[in-house]
Amino acid sequence: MRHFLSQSLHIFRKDARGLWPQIAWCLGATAVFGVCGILRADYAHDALLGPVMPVLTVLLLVSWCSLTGLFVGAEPLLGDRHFWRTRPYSWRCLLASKLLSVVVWILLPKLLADMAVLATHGFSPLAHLSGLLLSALVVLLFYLIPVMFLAAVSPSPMLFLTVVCVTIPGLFVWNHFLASIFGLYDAAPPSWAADFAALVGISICLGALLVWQYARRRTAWVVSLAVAALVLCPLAAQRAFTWTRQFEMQRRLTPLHLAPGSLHFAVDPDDPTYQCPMPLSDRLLQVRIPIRISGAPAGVTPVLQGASFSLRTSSGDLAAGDGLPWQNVGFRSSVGTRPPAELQFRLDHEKWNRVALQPFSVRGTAYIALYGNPLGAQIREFGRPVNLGDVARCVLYASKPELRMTPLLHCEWPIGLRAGEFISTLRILSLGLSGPDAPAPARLVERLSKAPVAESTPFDLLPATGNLSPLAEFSQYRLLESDTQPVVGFQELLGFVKTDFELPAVLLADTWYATGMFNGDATMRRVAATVSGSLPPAPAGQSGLMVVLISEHARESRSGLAGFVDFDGGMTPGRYRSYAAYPGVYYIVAGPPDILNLNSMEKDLARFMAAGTRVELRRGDNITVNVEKLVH
Amino acid sequence: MNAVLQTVALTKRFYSAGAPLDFTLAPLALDGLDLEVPESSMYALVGPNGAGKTTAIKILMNLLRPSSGQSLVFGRNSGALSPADFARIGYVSENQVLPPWMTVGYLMEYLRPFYPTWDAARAAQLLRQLDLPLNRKLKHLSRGMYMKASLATALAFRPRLIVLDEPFTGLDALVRDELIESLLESADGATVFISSHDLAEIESFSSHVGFLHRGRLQSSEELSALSARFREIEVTCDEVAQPTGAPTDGKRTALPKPWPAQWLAPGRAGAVVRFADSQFDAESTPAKIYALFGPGCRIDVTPMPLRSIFIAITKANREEAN
Repeated sequence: MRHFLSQSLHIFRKDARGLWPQIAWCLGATAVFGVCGILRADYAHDALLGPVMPVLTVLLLVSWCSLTGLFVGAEPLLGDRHFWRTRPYSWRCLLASKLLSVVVWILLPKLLADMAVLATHGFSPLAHLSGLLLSALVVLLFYLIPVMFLAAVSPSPMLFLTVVCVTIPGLFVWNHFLASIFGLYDAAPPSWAADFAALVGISICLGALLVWQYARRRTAWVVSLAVAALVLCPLAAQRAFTWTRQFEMQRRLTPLHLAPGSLHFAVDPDDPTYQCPMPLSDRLLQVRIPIRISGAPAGVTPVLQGASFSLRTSSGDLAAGDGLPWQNVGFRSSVGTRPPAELQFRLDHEKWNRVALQPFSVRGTAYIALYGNPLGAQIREFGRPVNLGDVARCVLYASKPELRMTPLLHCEWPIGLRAGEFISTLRILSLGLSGPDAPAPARLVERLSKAPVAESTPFDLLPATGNLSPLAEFSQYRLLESDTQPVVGFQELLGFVKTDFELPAVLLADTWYATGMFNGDATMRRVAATVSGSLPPAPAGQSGLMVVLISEHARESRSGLAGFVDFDGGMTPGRYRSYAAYPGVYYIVAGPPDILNLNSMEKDLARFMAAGTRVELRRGDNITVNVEKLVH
Repeated sequence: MNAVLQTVALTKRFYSAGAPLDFTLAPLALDGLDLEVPESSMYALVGPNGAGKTTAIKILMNLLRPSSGQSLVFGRNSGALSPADFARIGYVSENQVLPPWMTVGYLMEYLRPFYPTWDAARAAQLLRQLDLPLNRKLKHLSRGMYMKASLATALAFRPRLIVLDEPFTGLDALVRDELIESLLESADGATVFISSHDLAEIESFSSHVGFLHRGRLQSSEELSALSARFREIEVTCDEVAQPTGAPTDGKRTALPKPWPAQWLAPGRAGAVVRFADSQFDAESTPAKIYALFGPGCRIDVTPMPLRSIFIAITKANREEAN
């Protein structure tokens, strides 16, 4: 053992001496990255540095990977001319020295920089040390071990560097641009366990092959097996970790275990998110049923994550949730304090008519996440961060005073944080409602999952993969009235439960959200839209109203108007016709006049409305949409 | 005497991307090489370019894997040589790459802990003897200095086996002398295995010689025995009989028949015939010559230097191949 340590240290010292310029460069890059992270503690700097960080990340990664390759390449495993091959090197000592170099010159500086960043962002570095160590392990497993492997089988340093310099920026471009363009993220199921297992599998295989290469130098075999691992690990992981298995694994890993029968399910007729069916095409409608879950222990909030279910009428089976469990639930914003829980399914016209007019039952299995230990803090000033204990820090930021109605909510938390969920609460004091159906002033609760896809199971076993920063973060634009009180919160993910449920005698027609009024905020005051005249008679149960609001911020969004402010699903002016394809469902679009072509919209509206309906869009100070009962 | 190095039917084929899929068609660098290097010997492996000397050494040093056959070092399969084995082996090759950023002094200092038998006094002596600049980086050394540095690192730990692959190539006479002097001083009972084209230098200290040609060992024996059985013979006759069927152009270039196989590289110029006898015997050889050429011929027998023996064998092999 003593000999092992002394020889490993001896080679380590030699590498440090031989590669000091490259080591110095790498330490400098890590320091710059850390300093930028420290400067980002002030969100004004963050806005400036934000665009630079991806470039710095790529540079840092390339530096790390290159240095790792140089460590390995100091004693190349391929070739028959290198002096060390006929010297009494122990391959174990050699490999250990390379790992030691990686730890000392890459991971340790990263750890120190991360601790400094955490400290300046108001988090205790020691309290989050386990997360930082885990993050360093992820960097070692997911980046540096594969790079060491690549260097160990590369016939020349130039080839290795070329591969590194092409692959890392390539992955970055793919990750940030191409994958979203091809819609891969949207199409992918929530499969952190499968992704994680695939990555771990690949890393373990490459690590084992790296050891084998050092011990035996069987390059052809090693490369062949590595290629096989790269192909088979994702396939095997995808097959092994189905959504339900992943859910079961999460259930075992989390501390709170609840008896399945202790939760009770009911239709929530008062949930204001309970809406009219949304036409998906000429034939299909999407229907949502709001669910109220009760029976959870005090302080525990159940949130529906997924469901498998079928619908049955007195005349037999009608339909089933036909997607993966997570696709059969809505995971949406809600007005009110209840967490959103919606079963969603698709029906064609004929089935819709049957459902709309008679009661039906829903029977199935629900997958529920249990949250608790809430933390909350009110944000009182723009640009001044608010800490949620030692868990997270949030700030409302607007680059210009006129954008304070739609500020950016930016939250960050140390990677490796225990799983949880952020909640942004805006107390809306004046909804401008009137009449007997008007709800009391309520809170608009936005559930902001830590996971990148809102619908995915918000469980993070590991820090965000691929993120070299010690802080994970998200940013979202918020609508903010001048007299609202923004509150941010966090609640810990305590457990999961899978349970069967039944909703007897559901009657959609009784619970439609048929009356809506909106008093727009300042950004909406430039346009008023009024629908007057009588709406045409529609087939029973086939009418609805959809309001889509587009704010000033839409102009700043590079992706156009899509998905910014929408009251009901992503909708752009270019796409709104599809929403009107189903007869009896009408819409009104309002927004800044220089964005929307009012004349064109009036014509469109007129075309879709029955004769005799007068449609007029005009500019004014307020939007007022009054719809009396649309359901006949 | 134990064999420190041994190969048994050692074969090596080199495959390349452009080679045919049939591996048996890949070029053979070694073709069933059987070699034994006795302990404490100074064994010189000689052969023309492409004979397979470097390939054989690289396999013995575990730098290459054999296609088939066995290669043993200290009785152990060379593919399984351990650090402890390498701690007893000093290997120097003309194309070995040393870390270019290291100074000579640091290279010696760096290698020292790897060798339990490192002799600091001997190392210092080698550095002085070879006149190596301690503070100069290896990448700034001349070729001669580079080889001297390599040799110094291979001798400073008093290895039991010294393997030298073309150590003298491209070096001037002075450097060669210095290298050989250092080698001989350090050998001290160690086995030396050397491949070289510099036959004159090798002859000065080798105890054994092996001739390698096209991957096969043509001969392997003690140098004294080799020198004893090889003689250059010049036969001068007033009239050398023309064999039946020989050309009758009057130049009289044909050799008498039947020409013995052990008489290598024969050449005739008029009445003088020269050849190298690979099985010289002071009593029987003259009798054979007289029997073939006639009793009136004059025989001049000259000992052959290793270089001449090498040329004679090589020529003979070429003729045989043709």
